[in-house]
Amino acid sequence: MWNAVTTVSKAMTAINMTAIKSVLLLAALCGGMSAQADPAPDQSAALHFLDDFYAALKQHDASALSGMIAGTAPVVVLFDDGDGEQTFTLSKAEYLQQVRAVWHFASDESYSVKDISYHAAASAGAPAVVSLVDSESRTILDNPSGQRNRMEISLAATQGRIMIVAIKTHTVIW
Amino acid sequence: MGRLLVRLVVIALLLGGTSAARAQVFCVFDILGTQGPLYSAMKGYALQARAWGANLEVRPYVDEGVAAEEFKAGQCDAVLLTGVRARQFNHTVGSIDSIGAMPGYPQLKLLLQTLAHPEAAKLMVSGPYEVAGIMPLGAAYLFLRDRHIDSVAKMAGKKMAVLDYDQAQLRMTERIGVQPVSSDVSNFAGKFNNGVVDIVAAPAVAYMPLELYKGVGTHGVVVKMPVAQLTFQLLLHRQQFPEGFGQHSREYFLGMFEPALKAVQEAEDQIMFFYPPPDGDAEKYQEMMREARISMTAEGIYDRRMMSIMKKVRCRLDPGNVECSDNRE
Repeated sequence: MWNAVTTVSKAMTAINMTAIKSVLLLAALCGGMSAQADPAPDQSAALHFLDDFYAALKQHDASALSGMIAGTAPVVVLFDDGDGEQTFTLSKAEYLQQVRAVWHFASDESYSVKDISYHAAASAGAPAVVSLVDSESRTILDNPSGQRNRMEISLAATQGRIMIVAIKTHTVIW
Repeated sequence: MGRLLVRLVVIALLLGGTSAARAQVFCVFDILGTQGPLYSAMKGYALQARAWGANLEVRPYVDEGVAAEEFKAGQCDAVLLTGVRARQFNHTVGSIDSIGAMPGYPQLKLLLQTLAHPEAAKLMVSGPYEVAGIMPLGAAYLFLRDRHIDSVAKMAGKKMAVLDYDQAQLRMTERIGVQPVSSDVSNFAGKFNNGVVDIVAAPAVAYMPLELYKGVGTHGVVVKMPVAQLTFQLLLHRQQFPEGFGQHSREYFLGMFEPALKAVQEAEDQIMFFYPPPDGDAEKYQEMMREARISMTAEGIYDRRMMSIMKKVRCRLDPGNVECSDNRE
């Protein structure tokens, strides 16, 4: 008898402990999720972010630019040279290096952004996407140069802070 | 009086002996001569070398070929040369700069740490010569005047500057059907910038001083994939230096790795139109370079022992690499 009680008691204790552990685990997971992923930015926040992004580009503010791009964000460039297309994937560091190098060599720069379109997140946890056409012109080594980028910029928010999590661009350089 | 005379004679003999001790002539190749960073760094090295029993007289050379010949002729007791040029004096260590063997700086650092270990000292000696230091010059990248040349297949028939003393470059141009144009360190950049050649392989540290951005212009590209890790190597005529000098020197050079790498990375940061190969192509090009390396090792252009060491380094840092399960290198 005592043996049976002890066995049942142990079983009950084990069930209770399992349940408590499960609840704690769920709570931890839910807490973790709420700390990591905010809802994707709404249209107003996304467009405001974009203004800041282009302001940093125009002001050659590498530090501000770096702070707006997530460390793991891929920059996928579909490069169209008029003779076929090729795709390159740059890391954040490679993208920023190119931006800084162009700043170093360029003069008479101008940026023009048009056809801006906001696409809300397709599902919970997915980023919002802003598509646009960015035309850049500059003088490099005494030659007029420029590029037109049809871009899709994916934006997510973490702890209230908006970050670029991916850039896709169809780019023509001349 | 007598004692004083004896002392004076001893002092005179000692002084005479000191002044008669020949300084070792250290010939330093620096394309910028006395204004160059290498010449300056080697002046600092010469000061340090006094502690190891050498009295180096540093001489700048803007022509690497002349420095190498004077070292061979014994007019220089020590010389600082690029690894490709230094290969003739130590085939093993000179094979570090082989095609595609070190894909990145972490691999190169581990390799140089390994080679600076006293247990590797025997690899440093080859006949009368000893390698007494290895320093990174940076990865060599392909610079192209026209970014429409976006694959190896499209390089066929294009002109490429090659160092005429590097058999490996000539073999590589043959393999990919590029037309080699014989050049040296002092004139390859001019040929590229003036359109005499379409392609050069060069380290980032050449980009600003040699104005390679002029050749790349706004229509070219620099392919961000190392085709080789270039080094500077210090060589000695062993008998002209005290026992143990080489090991001290190699450890000192290893200490210069990080500052040298910092300079290399700052130079790489300045390159415009610096793109990796198109998605999916990098692995293909790595394999192409590996096949070329294996073939050139079989021909004796590269040293089999160094190829094996470098493979071990690659596999230590990336054990999942396909090559780590075969023994072709």
